[in-house]
Amino acid sequence: MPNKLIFRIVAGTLLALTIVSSLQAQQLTMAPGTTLPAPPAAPPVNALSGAITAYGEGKFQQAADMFKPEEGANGVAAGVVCELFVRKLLPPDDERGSAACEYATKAGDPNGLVWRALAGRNGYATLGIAVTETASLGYLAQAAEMDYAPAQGQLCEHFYTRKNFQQALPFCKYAGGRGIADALYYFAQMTLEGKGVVQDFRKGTDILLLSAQLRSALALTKLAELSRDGATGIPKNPVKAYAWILLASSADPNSKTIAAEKQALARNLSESKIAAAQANAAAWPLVRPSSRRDLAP
Amino acid sequence: MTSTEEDIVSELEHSKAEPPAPPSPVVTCDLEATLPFTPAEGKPVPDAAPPEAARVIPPTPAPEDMYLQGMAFLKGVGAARNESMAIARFLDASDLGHAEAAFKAALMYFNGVGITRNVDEAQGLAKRCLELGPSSALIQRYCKELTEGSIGTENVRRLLEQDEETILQSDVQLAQKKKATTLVLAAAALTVLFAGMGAYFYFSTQDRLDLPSAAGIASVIPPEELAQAKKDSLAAIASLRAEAAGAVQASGDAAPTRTTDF
Repeated sequence: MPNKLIFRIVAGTLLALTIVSSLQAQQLTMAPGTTLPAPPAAPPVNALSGAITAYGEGKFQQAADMFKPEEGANGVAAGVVCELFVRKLLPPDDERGSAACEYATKAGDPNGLVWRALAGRNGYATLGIAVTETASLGYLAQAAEMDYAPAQGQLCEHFYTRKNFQQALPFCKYAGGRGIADALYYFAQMTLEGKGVVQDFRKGTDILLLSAQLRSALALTKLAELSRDGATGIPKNPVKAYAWILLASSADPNSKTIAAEKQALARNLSESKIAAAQANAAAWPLVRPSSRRDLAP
Repeated sequence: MTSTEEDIVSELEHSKAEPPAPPSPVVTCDLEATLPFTPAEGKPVPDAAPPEAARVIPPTPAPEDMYLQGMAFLKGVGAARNESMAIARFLDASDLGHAEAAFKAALMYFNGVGITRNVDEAQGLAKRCLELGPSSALIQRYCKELTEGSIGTENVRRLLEQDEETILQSDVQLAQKKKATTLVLAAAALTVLFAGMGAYFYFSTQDRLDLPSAAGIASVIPPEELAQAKKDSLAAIASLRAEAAGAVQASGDAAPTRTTDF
């Protein structure tokens, strides 16, 4: 028998004896009646529920911290983290952001796919993600194929802004029908302007109002413009216009366009009319928009 | 020559032409035949004279009659209208205890009809009317108003000119008119109130933000349209993915290693 083998057997035996004896010693030194500590409780099945709740409440940093341990292994977590970095809701961290987006795309998370697609647009170059337009469309198409409504909405916006109304129409209609506010707005615009569909002011205005109720800043701004100028059957009413723009500014507080329009409208109104507009805006029933996605892991 | 002179001349000529008419025969009258007594009696029958023993003093007219006479003089019924005579009759009737006559006299004194105006006298007579106790509640009311001085000359004039029944009727009509006026005013006030409320609500609501007339998204994008849109979008997605895959291949990129790569 080789010497190495003998040595290993002896060492292993000694090691085992040491462990057993130490355990026995532990038991002997324990006070009578004391039992061994219970093993730690099994981790909860839904470890991400707290993070999802924080995300839903707008506590993005907290959500990101809670997602961190999972973002390398869970597509949902990675997708949300990718989104938070692309939207610049977290302090810049290109490495973490791009890694999250990569993983989310790899895992096939639809939210991650959408934000990966958007990362290549609107100047989201901080993450160092270079996405061509075609690739971006591909990601969106992949997410849309999974019946992910926000992806449909993004395709709607993509084709509408490029005035490809025929191609935009099914995406806008389908996403709008599933409660995506901005898609509903684009569908309203097409109906009001008769692009891709038969022009219908009444129906278009109704769709615009439905979109506004879902807190679409675009729809609320459009309603403010129509009330300011008096168009498509909506009578001119500066008080209403101001009320609409107040709602738009609450839907998108960071928009400089909306802030400028709000100032311009306020200049022509007396204090009592501004107060009336504020009261009317506060009284207008907003509908809680449908959740962006089901974030159950 | 004037026409008158011509007439005179023609008459003279005419009278000259005709012979004078013979004198008419004397007619004698047999006065004896006409005497009321026979010649045998020899004494004419003297004229008939009323016997002094049968002279009757006419009775004092009842107060009611005096009152009615006064009314006749006042209204000019059966006699010429004479307000002075009327008040005289009323005063006489009043002295005899006729309450309504005292009332009428009071009215005439109050307005100076048929007599010099004297409000104090009018009030005195009105008081007498109340003491005598008029049969009509209306007269009692007006006598009271006269004593209190709460009646005007116009109403007194109306009372003098109209009879009680007419006054009652006109009072009823007046009351009905007042009621109708009140109703009309109330209706007008309510109309103004509601119009004001309507105007308030209109002007306060015209600035209210519009709500969609559609019941929800499903009413503007019905399920069948949604299903068709889904089908069309899936078809578009397939062609997008094909285009994207073709673009990647054409750019010469390495074959994708990740399953998610298109």
